[in-house]
Amino acid sequence: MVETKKEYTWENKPAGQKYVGVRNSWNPDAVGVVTGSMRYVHDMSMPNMLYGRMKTSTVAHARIKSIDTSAAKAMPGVAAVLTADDIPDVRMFGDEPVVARGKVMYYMEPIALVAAETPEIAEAALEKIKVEYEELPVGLDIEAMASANPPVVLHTPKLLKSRFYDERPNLINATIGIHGDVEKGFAEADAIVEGKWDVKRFTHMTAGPNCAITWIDPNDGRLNCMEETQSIFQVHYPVAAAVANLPMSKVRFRCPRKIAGAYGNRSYVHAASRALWLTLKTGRPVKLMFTRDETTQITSRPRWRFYFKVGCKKDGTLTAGKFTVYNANGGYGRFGAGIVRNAIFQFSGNWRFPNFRYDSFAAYTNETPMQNLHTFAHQEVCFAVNQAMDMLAEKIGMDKYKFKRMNLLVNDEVNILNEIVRSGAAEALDLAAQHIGWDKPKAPGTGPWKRGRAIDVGNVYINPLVEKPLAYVRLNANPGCDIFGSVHDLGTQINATVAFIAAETLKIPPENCVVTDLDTDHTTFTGSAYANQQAFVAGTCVMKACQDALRKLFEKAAPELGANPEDLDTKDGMIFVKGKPENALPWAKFMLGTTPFIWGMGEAWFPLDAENINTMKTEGKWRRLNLLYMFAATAVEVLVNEETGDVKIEKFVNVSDTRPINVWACDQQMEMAQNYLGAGLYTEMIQDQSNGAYLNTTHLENKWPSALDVPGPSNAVVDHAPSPGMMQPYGIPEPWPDVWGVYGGGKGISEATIVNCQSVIANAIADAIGVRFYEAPIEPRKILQALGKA
Amino acid sequence: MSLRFITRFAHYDAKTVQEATSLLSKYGDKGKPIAGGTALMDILKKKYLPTPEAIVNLKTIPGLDQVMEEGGALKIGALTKLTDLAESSIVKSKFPVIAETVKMISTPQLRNMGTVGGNLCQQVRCWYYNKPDFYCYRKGGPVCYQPGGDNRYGAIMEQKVCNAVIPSDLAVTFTALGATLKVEGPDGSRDVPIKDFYVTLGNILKPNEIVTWITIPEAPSKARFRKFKVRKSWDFAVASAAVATTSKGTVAALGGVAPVVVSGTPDEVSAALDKATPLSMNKYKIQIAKTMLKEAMA
Ligand SMILES: Cc1cc2nc3c(=O)[nH]c(=O)nc-3n(C[C@H](O)[C@H](O)[C@H](O)COP(=O)(O)OP(=O)(O)OC[C@H]3O[C@@H](n4cnc5c(N)ncnc54)[C@H](O)[C@@H]3O)c2cc1C
Ligand code: SF4
Repeated sequence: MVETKKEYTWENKPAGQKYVGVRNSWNPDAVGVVTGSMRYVHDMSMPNMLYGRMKTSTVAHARIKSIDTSAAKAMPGVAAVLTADDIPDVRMFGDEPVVARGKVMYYMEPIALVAAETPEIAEAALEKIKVEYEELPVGLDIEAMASANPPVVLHTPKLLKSRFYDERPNLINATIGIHGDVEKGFAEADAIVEGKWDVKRFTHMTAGPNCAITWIDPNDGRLNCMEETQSIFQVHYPVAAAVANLPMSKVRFRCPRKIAGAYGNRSYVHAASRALWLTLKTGRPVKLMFTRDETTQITSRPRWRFYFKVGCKKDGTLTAGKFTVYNANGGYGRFGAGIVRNAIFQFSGNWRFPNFRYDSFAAYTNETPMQNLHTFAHQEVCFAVNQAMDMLAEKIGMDKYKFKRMNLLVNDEVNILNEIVRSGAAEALDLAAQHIGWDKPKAPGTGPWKRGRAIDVGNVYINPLVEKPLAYVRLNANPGCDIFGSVHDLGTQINATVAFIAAETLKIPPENCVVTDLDTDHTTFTGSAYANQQAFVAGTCVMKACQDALRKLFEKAAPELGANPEDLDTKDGMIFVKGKPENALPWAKFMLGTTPFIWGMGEAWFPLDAENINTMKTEGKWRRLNLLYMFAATAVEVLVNEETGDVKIEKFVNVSDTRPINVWACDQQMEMAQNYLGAGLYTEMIQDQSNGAYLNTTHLENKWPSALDVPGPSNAVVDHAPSPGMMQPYGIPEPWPDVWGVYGGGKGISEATIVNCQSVIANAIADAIGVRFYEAPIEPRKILQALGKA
Repeated sequence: MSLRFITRFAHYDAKTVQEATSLLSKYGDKGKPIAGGTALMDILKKKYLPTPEAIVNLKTIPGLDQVMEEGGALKIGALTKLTDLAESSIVKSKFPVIAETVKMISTPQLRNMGTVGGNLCQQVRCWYYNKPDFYCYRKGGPVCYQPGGDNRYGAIMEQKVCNAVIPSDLAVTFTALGATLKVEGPDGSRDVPIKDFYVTLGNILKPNEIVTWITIPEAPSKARFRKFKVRKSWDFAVASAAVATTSKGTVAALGGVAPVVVSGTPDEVSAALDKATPLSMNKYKIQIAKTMLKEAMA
């Protein structure tokens, strides 16, 4: 574990804070995860359970002429074989069917579902299903597919509507953002940089492939689904009910305590949506486990192309920027419409642009449908933006750090979207510069090893589509509490973080604070695990619920202690008059008999500008689209070998503008961000050029860096430059009460930590060998090619 | 629980080499030996090759997991675990290049299970070959997918009909050291110099033959192995080179560049690299192979 360089200063931290903001490695799930006793969906089974499998497409684009399932159905031990003909035509997120309907849009798209008594029979049955295809041209060209005359049209009729250019047949969304007058801005510029950047596909490689168990509860006849999810209420539960064609009251969705890796993969109902139909048709429990190949071929980050033109004055002041985005979205929409809209937040959060134009296009292509993956496009956008900023600084002969620093928005400035930004970006950048030793000349390289360094800055935003989240807490006499809220632990240790918040508020040990499992029967809605919101949204609700419960407890205890409730305090399950701990009464005294528990409710309010988020311009009384932006500055020092194209990372610095609640977990996130340096170095999904299929679907070939491939603790520094979190909604009394969030830990952390990991590698390599790379990742192959050695 | 399900097969624990080879004979080309299983299990799960009808376990044959010195020569039992080979005191003191090589192979966990024989006999890692959907030339099909597909890790020389590269690192070092393999079948045994063992589409073993011993004739006066991996912690070679000097002269060998190990004098190997025939995406491998060779000779 890396020691952070400085102790956190908690200007508004109440004296004696014991669990929040304190480095404490306690985590209720640690032993289970490390010893393997933690049970994920893969480990579970039910009596009388069938095994599900999917027959998947062997081609990227085709009309399905026929599917012959008779031989598979006739096999002993096969309970059901389903095709689109057996399932109502419900589309997930507007266009994606559970199994292909008439056409396949990408390689390995599910075509038929099988349930059998054993996994072996299920697999053998797949081979007996005969599919006849009439192959269609495969559309993979990122720009051509988004045009008015694409080489091939995927969906007729078109099922998703684009905000602009809806007449383009493959377009699922386009956004336009205009601020000022870019042409005028470029005319005023002394220097202009332009480029075209491509970022390859990249996938989650979750430790556990997608898996679900579905069954019908004989006691109440409801359909039950168990799948690991990062969004039980906003995706899995409603989508499962819709797919099943059942009212939500006839469906129950659950998720185990811990999720076997997510990074975006679990934002979609991949497995339960299919398993549930096998259950509905057979009446039996069904377990559907994806293979590793299926998991990788069905979910991945999209391919991107960016055009960026940016200009500045001689003194470094930015005058204009023009950014155009193409997203090769894959065969169905999923979250593609939102991702091309939200990519603009990299500019609105970070940079002071007097004139700016943003155009983005997401179009269908015959490849894996896009899946959100850590940062929802921002790591990729940063690959272009941070490089362009360095190029512009070089062009005017200015120090890159100074150039970025002077063009960053600062606290309370109004941005291109008319939001008032709260930002610690500049402070984070300063700290990163200090830690990497930017003011000192870099050491020379040796032999073929050339040394380079870079310092980048980026943001991700919290835009939870959560307006009024609510948590409950149930105090018990032990003293302890059970916490009810949609807390999804993807490995982020949020279960510990939420327990720390409860423990701090109730002044009892965190071990006594239980975060209950996700189950739509009792879990309340405190948001989802996307956009870094959990500590912030669920944490706020839990803190308030604990405060509410304590208030009720004190009301009960006040007469016996002969004091007013507001004069009471508690510690370790004892209640006493403030300053007189000697006359204390235990919680237990008030939680007996007719009132075994005391309940608290905590509701938060995050006013949302749902209207304007689509137009991307705040209007009228609204002054924010996002709840907040969080920033990170990342610096690296690398050695690049000019004979082999090898890149060694010598030093890694990562600074966030968050104030950590769970310091241990935050620092682990900041450190583990190093793994994402792979996205700059060599990690990618390699696609066959003819059918978009991924060739490297295993952990071996996919090449995520391991802990041994990155600098590791001794050469990494992580730090924080805390800044206030929430942006002020206009017309709501100032200051917005939750501006610092829960216990001052107003911001999330997860995605910001990795946002610069791809660009910082490109910039450091450019610094070392003087060559720019416009395509990520930058493997030795590309470096040698650029150096004229291949 | 495994996510891939293995088709049924018969399994035998062989007690002697004789028993193993006669069991394999009984099943013709539908039997397969298994050693550590680290490579074979992958095939059984992914099913890119037909599942054998019978699998014959060699680990139950006593005595084949030893490393010993015999009159200056090093004898390695084919069932020796990679970790044990690297930790053998004879290897460490007289053949340190072998230990260096083993440390570059896969991961500690795999080295604890994988054997020397399995490492030498493993299948290629071409990503078309490793998928059931691609019926390529090496599987008996009509085409090789690499020239028209993604060939960044493909062969740059001696391709003939297949552009996959030999994956074994030990094969490279053993070639530089002039190793001989003892091949045993139901009708007896033969000694095969390692440079004759590999052919474009695999090796010269008949389905009923196994490798039992590897002999390195003498300790080199100087030897080095260099391997270039894209991901440093664990990866197959983009290119590797071993160079060893013995009483018979200096031999250089290259791995990761061709379906077989390319070997000869350092000058010959260097000249062969100059005449390399890279595919559309992998010219860079020439530069890397040259660098590995240079470093191995240093
Ligand atoms: C993820 C991963 C990474 C790897 N990385 C590397 C690497 O970097 N470098 C490298 O060199 N290797 C690498 N390997 C290969 C690894 O070293 C081999 O899996 C291992 O050495 C094989 O040994 P085994 O005993 O498990 O073979 P098995 O899986 O038991 O057998 C492999 C093959 O050889 C045959 N076979 C086994 N023993 C004999 C014998 N005595 N005679 C005849 N045929 C036999 C089997 O029939 C089978 O076809 C990697 C493997 C994996 C899975
Ligand atoms: S390189 Fe060899 S193994 Fe790979 S596709 Fe071609 S023939 Fe098959």
